[in-house]
Amino acid sequence: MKVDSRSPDCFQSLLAEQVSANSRLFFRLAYGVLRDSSVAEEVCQHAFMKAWECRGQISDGSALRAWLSRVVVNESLGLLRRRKTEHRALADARLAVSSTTSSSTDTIDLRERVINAIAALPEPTRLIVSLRIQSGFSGNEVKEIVGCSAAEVSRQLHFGMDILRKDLASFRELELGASHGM
Amino acid sequence: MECDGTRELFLKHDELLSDRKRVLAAVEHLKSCAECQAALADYADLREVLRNPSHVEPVGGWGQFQDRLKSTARHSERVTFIGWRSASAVAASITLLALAIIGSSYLNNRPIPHEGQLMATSGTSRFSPAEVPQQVQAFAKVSEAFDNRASWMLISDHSSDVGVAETAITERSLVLLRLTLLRAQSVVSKADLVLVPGQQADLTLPLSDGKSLHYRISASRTTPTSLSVWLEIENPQAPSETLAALATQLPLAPGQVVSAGQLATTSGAYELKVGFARSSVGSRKSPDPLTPSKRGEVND
Repeated sequence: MKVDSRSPDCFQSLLAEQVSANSRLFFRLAYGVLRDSSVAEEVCQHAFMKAWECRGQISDGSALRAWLSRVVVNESLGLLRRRKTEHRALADARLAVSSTTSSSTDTIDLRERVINAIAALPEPTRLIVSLRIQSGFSGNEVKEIVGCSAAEVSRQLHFGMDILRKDLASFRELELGASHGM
Repeated sequence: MECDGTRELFLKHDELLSDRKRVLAAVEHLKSCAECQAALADYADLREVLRNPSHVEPVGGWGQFQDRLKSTARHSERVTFIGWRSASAVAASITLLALAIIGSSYLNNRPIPHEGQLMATSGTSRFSPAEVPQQVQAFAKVSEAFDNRASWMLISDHSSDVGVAETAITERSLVLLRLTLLRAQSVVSKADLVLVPGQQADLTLPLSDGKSLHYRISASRTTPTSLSVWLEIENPQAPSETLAALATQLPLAPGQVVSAGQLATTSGAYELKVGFARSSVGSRKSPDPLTPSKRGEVND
């Protein structure tokens, strides 16, 4: 369905269609990163508000689904990073007060590390990895959501997973080093 | 799956048979390839780490979640504003946090003006040499927390706020403004704004008598700086009702304190004084999520 971006009523109908058809997708994407249902919902709400603001850039319904998915993933990753920054800053402030020497980076776990690595992936690799690995969509579903070919999904997934594997390997090396150092 | 079902499937779909051949070939390859075995194990680990618990639903279930989202879709224009205020609240907490982290005693030690307290505007409206780097450093911290997207930061005695751009900002120079509103020579509002030239700050500040100030301020990238100021005094009982407004364009030089003009209301005249300073932050790099940024150093 082609949309006249200058028509607010038409765009609102399009947003309502996206809610009916894809709200579970958006929630799953946000929850996959944030693991907090309330915050995941806020991110979904924010994505819809942002879509309204950017309605001039979105041409049709399928483009809107891909656009909303991308915004939900990016906003979730960004929010998670800001939260981690805030938590670390608080931890650092507490450490400064207590003058202890341990580092707040000790608390970084594997999931956080992998999520950070996903956040650093370029687009559309980031969205494809999130959809396929985090949210468990099939290759065909991912192809439909992102609006690209199956071969492109496969290529991007391979590229993204290679990067994540390297990160996993370096995490394991660190773990190994830490356990040997103990 | 039973034998009959399996065979029926194979007969039904040629492509499935083709897939089966590929899967069998892959399994055969896997038996003798250590690298692929390691990759498969890693994929499984990554899936396990990232996999969503399937049973999780939004608060109140899917139906209520969809209703809430539909409500957002129906009232997008209005909700955009509410969402922005909510984002500002989050940003405000980060602003204060950043200030706490850098160990600045700026907020705590600064004398808090009360309405009715007489202040010598020429002295208090000007930034001291020590305040400029403190504010720049606080801004750098806040911007770092927002992936270099902070376009402005406000610190006042009663509230803090930050503006966040859609994309990372590469501009390094900063404009520092001290906005002092006076009524009958008494300070009724005082706020410090750190603004990236070329960006616009759109912010609201409460006044002690229940009214609020709505500023829209932007600064040019040119030298001398041209400051564009829009100020409204609003009545909270009727948000659309503006009690007084002021719009002006000010050419400013560092260290200068100027009067931006007066706003006349039925309860008296207000005057806005603007103190000005310029500075810059260290190089803004693209944030690397895996490496803590070293950005935030002060140039001057």
